[in-house]
Amino acid sequence: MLQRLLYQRKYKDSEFATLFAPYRGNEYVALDLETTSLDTKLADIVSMGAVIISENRILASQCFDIKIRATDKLAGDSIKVHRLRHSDLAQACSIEEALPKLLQFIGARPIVGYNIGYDQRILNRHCKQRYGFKLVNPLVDVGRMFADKVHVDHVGISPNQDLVHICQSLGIPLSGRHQAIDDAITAAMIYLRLQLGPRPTSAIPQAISA
Amino acid sequence: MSTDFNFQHPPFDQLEPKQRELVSSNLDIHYFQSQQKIVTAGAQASSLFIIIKGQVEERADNNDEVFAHYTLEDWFDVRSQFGGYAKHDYIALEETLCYALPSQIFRRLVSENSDFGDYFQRDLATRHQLVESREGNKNLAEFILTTIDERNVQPAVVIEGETSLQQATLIMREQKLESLLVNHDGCFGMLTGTDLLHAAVLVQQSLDTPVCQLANFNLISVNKGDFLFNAMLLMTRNSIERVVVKDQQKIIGILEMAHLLSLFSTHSHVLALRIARASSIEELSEAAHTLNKLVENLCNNGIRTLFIMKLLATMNEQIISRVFELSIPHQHHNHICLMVMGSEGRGEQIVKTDQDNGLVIEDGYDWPERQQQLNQFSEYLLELGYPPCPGNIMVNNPEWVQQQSQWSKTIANWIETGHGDAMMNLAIVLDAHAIAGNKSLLRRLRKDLMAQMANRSVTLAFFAQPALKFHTPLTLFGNIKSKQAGLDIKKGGIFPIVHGVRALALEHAISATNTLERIEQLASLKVIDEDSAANLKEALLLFFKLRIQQLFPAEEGQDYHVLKLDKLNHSQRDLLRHGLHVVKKFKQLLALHFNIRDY
Repeated sequence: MLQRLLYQRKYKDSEFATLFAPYRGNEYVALDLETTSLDTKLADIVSMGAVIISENRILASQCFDIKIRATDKLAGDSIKVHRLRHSDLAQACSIEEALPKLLQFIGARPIVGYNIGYDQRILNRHCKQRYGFKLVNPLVDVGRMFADKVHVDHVGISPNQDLVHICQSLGIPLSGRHQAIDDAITAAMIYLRLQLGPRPTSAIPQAISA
Repeated sequence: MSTDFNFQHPPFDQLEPKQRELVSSNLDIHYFQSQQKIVTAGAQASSLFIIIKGQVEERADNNDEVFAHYTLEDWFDVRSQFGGYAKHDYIALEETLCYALPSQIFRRLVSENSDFGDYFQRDLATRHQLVESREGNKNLAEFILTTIDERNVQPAVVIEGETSLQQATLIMREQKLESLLVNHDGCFGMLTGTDLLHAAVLVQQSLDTPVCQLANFNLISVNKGDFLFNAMLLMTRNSIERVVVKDQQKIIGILEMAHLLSLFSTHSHVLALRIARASSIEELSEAAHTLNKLVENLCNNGIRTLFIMKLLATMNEQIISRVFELSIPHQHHNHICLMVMGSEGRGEQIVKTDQDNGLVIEDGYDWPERQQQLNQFSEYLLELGYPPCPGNIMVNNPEWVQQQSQWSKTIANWIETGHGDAMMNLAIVLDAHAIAGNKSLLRRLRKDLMAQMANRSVTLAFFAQPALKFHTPLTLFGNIKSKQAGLDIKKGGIFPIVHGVRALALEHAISATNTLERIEQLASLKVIDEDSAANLKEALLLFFKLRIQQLFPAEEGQDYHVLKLDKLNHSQRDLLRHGLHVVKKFKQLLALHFNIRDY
């Protein structure tokens, strides 16, 4: 909060002013990044996907979907995970171009995601390096949200927060894994389901056969 | 963006890559809670919804009538997409996720891609067919999709330019042609019947005038592989009746406006012509094999079931009577009558069914070589793809070839026996339909049958009983009951209606053989009330339709009477459930009517 007010003054004439304005809307942004490694200190961003959630709608038609040009860190291992080769990224834009666009897209909206803290740390590192600030948007982690809402049989059992499990128990279609935009949309669906739907149970629903 | 929208699902599979891109980049996702109203009756549509997950119910706005259920990959509400207003409420029955495609994008796709558009037009028609009247001719799709090839082109007969007017007229008459091509020093011209008439009658040219003076040498041509539609436009624009069809500079035939117009009501006309012109079993065989293609084409294009059945019945009738003419010498035709039975006799078949046929011979007519000729007839039908009848009800079986008085005795015997096979045989003969030879022979036979059956209520009850034999596949709570293998719609739905209506028709001496016509006549005789009659017709048509849909694409070794329920979408299942309820009610009516107790 204090941080936000400080930034608000410091950056009030820059292009980032909107990030720190008090947020009055009711929209959220679901976000997902694909990165070169799981180490937040080193990882580079490969692609970014973000989509706005407005009331009960996911505005997928106006989504943010950008691939970032390769750096030398795009190593063999992570290519296997998200199947973006250097050649795929040749068409993409540089992180310097993409980052301001993403921040513009997010604005001051709260950010929704699966394990969103990780994405935030990476964004923070890049923002800090380039512009000197960190993100102050409120975060909503759908894994956490699920754990809070899910009904478990005994108090104290820690609920399974695996994404596949969450999607199965909420009956949300999970596909197109490891494309930033698809993961962002999945996170958005989980958010809406938890926010608006009935309380989930830990049991996996049986496929209903007609 | 890369949504996982399923483009394999028709009609979205008709979209071009560019159009798919357009859809992908314009889809939003909406989430609805259970019991949330998604669309309110009277509201203007903003998007077309496609369900990702969940269930949606369409209700009339006073909430007392449910129209349909929609689920995975169904879409709604198509009706209001074209600037109209939603007619009903749409309510999420459980939590529902939907893709939302903006209406203006949807309209743009419909106007850009006719296949895509047609599909929705048809979908509208089929989805509400039990609610709304089924109007509209859906043959346009078939017509537009058809290209010019040997099958729809009239053979071109080329004559030399020196041929006289008289000879040309003779050729036209013999070959039953509307026009000829005239070869004059390597230059081709068109000569029509009208040209000949004009020359001979109006201008009074002598009969030996060479035709090269009469023919028109400014030919307009189309190419093989062009769309029929374009040929039609070309003719309309140039106000001509015929165009020449070329295959790489070589003339392969003539395409006539008259045919094209008939193509608007399917290819049947051309096929009928080819059947009528077939002078050998080989030519007939070609025509007969296009029949399956035609049916498939019609089914895949959503042409109305009733129409397909009528068409197929007519075509089969023409083919079989043509086979009859090819295998049995003409002098016998006046003394015998060929009848087809079973679904063929009722005009209700969708595929080429078994050869259910028989023969009535005039009393005392002497015909020594008949067995051999009748065997030839059955042989030919086999060649054309009509499988033999498992019950051996065919003219190469002497039991089904009898003189009139013999038939009369046979029928009397069956009526006396009064159960089992005898009753089924009676049912078969009752559906007999004369298609070749002296048709009055069958009329007399039928009159005889009706007279013998009059006032025999006990026999009638026995006759009607099989209609109640099969259990209607509904659970105690009125839902569809189905086995792992599927639902046998013939036993569960079609047969009870067909046979029950047959029994009632027999009782009231109705001579029509088609079940729908019988129902209509029963209604006009007040045997069943108007509402029940309408429901019965709808239900029967629905069963036929569902059965047809199973055929294409056909799977190996499938029994086409068995419906795979998991292949049906929600609204179809809904309609099926309604249809089966109609059957159940009808069976109760039959049991009461015929006093059948152990039902």
